[in-house]
Order: sequence, then C-alpha cells, then structure tokens
Amino acid sequence: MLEGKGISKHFGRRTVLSSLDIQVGDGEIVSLMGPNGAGKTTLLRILATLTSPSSGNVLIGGKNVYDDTVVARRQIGMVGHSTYTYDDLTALENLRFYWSMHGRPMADFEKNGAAMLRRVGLAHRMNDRASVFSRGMRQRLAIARALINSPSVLLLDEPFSSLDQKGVEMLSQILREEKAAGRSILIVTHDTQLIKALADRADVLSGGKIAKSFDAAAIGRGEVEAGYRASLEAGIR
Amino acid sequence: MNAALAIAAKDLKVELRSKEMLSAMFLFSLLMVLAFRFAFSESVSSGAVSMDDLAASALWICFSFAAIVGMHASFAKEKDRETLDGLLLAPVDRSSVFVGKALSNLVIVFAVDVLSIAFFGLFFSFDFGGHLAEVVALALLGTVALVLVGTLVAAISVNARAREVLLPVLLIPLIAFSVIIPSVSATRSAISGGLSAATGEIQSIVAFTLVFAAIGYFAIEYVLEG
Repeated sequence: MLEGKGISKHFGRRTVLSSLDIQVGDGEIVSLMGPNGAGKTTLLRILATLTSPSSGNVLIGGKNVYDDTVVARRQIGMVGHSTYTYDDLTALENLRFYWSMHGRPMADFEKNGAAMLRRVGLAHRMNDRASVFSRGMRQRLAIARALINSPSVLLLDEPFSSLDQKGVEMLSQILREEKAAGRSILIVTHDTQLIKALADRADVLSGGKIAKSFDAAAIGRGEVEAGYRASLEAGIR
Repeated sequence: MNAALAIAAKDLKVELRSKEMLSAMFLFSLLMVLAFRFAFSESVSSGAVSMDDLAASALWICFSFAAIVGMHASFAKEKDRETLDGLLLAPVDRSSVFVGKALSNLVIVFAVDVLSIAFFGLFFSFDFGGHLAEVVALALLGTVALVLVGTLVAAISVNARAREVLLPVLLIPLIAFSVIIPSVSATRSAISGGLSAATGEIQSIVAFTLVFAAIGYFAIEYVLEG
C-alpha cells in the first residue's frame, strides 16, 4: 500500500501541495486528475522519492520511504514525462543497465530481457538504438523499464501519451495484470474513458489537496467527467 | 560497487558510440599542443625557455582544460537528455553514482592525457628526459584528483542555470593551488630526473585526493537530493 500523509510542498513562497493525503491500496488503480499546474507531477515525484516534501510522509507497506530510500526505490516503478532511456544504447542495453542498477543477477536478465520487451511490443526492435525509436516506442521502452523490478508501487505520469491504439490496449492489459498481482498503481491521466475502463478510484487534485474523489461506483455511473469538469469550471486550483 | 561499475560502463559505452566529449577533448588537446609548438619553437631552440619547464606547464594546461570540458558533460548530459531522474530512481546509494561518474570521467580524461603527452612528444621531438613513465604516472595521480573534485562540482552545478560558467568558476580555484601547481612542479622534477625532490608535492596531491574522495562520497547524497 502506498500512502502520502500530510504532504506539503512549497517552491519559494508558492505552495503547490498543502497537507495532502492520498492512499493507494494493494491491487488498486487510482487515477489522479487536475488542472494544469495543480501539482500532479510534483506529487508523483515526491511519492517516487525524486523530490523531498517540505513536510509530510510517504509510506510504502507502512514504512516511511525516507527511512531507507534505497529499499523504498526497489519497490517503486515510475513512468514520468521523460522516458529515462539512453539514445545511444539499444532497447535491450537500456533494460540491461537498469536491471544491473537494481542489483539483480545478470544471468536472469539474459533469460528474461527479451520477454520484457515482448510484453511491450518491442521484441522485434530489441537491438535497435533508442535514438531511432519514435516517441511511442520510447514510451513502451519506458514502461518496460518501470516494470523491471516487479515493483509493488507503480507511478505513471500520463503513460498513455504518445501510444497508438495498440499501445493503449497493451498498457491497459499490463495495468490489469499488475493490479491482479497486487500492485498499488497511481496514474495521472485526463482521459476519462481510460479512467472508466481501469480505475478503482479517481481523485481530483486542486488547490494543493485532493478536492474530489470518485469511487468505483461513481466512476461506473459516469460521474467522473461531469465532476472533473465542474471542478475545473469552479476554478478550484 | 557493482552499481558504480555499471554506471561507468554505461557512460563509457555511450561515449564511445557518440564520441561527443572525446572528440572535443581530443581536438582541444591537439590544438593546445600545436599552439605551444608554434609559439615556443624559437624560444626553446635559443634556450630562452627550458623544455622541461615548457613540457610540464603545457601538459597540465592541456590536462586541466580537457578535464573541465569532459567533466562538465558527465552530469549535464544526463540532465539535458532527461535520464538523470532514471538514474536517481535506481535503488542504489548516491555515492555509487558519484563513484561511477568519477570512474568514467577518469578513463576518458586520462585517455586524453595520454594523447596529449603523445602529441607533445611527437611535435617537440621530446622524450621527457627518458622519464615518460613517471610523467604518465603523475598525470594519472593529478587526474584522479581533478576528476574527484570535478565530478562533485559537476553534480553541484548540474541544476544551475549558468552551469557552463559555474563549473570552471567553482573548480579552477579549488584545483589551482591544490592540484595544478604541485602537479606542474612534480612533472618538471620528474622530467629533469629529480622526482625525489617532489615528494612534498606528491604527498599534497595524494592528501587532497583523499580529502575530496571522502567529501564527494558523503556529500553527493545532499548534492543530488531534489
């Protein structure tokens, strides 16, 4: 389970997050929406230990991630705005590098590397450098990279962007499988159709807090789109 | 240590494929030696400038500036290509990132050092007084010190807006008296066959190296923290 408790983040005088609480249970997919500049990416970076909160705690499995960030990072997979892939390395070499950074036996990578790329539809391009990949293919590689350590927490910032229809279906299927495996999954997306198809809960971040939350029943009734739009129109920021 | 080696191996592979830093450093080193060759050929022939003095100073100017060019890119490239967050998300101590980056910088900068020595020997028809091995060993020692300080300063300056300016502004005062001047002095002594007279300089470089290895190893956690 992933928990953010009382998270605040200030950049100078500007408060981006204000005593925010968020929780993503095991085997749960939570989508995070909000107007541009609401602090969604900042929140994801704090949950991923990439940015320190001004105050508050992040817990994974009940343990504060800042007690031991190395242990915490083993449990986190992240797809950010950037793909974190090296242009001058092939798809397979990119994964091999991140595999080695997780301290996993290289013999296992030689057995599983191709399968990881097959899962994201890149097996046929495994020996091509990332520099020749389209944005969508890089995004697929980023998804494979994020899953490399079988993380218990998946943080995804607009992961469907740049993916073609087949890629969207592929990622949706992966998320269903990861959910079934008990992962806690937090997705930043504005796509209400995907939220309806995948999410167990939809939170709206506005004014530095979770301003609205829609449960599975509300999502099923199609309330997310109207509620989200109402939040934006009400100017809650 | 495995993570540090993985980072160093990745950096070297990327550099060998792109040759971005190596080609710039190589050309810079070649240009410097050529400039010295044409500027000082008459002074050396007439005996107004000692070849031992010229070799020691010219080589360390080449080493220092090539190192600054190279080390600047080590973190800046990760930042510009948006891979730094991927590196920082990895479940390894930040000290492994420092050691890995320092190792790859050392290999690249030392390769350019060796090339500079070769260019100098070639263009000046100079055999370093028969003490080439000592000159190369001193280049390695001084480069280890340069790289440790430079890697830490490159990490400090990576998020700064004017990092291209900040790196030399922070680095040069740190290395001028602690690495460059003792290294020039020791190299001159080595070429003239009196390396034993440079024991003090060598000890001071070693001490500085150890201090900055410790500072870099422990401070990098705070330097790279978001």
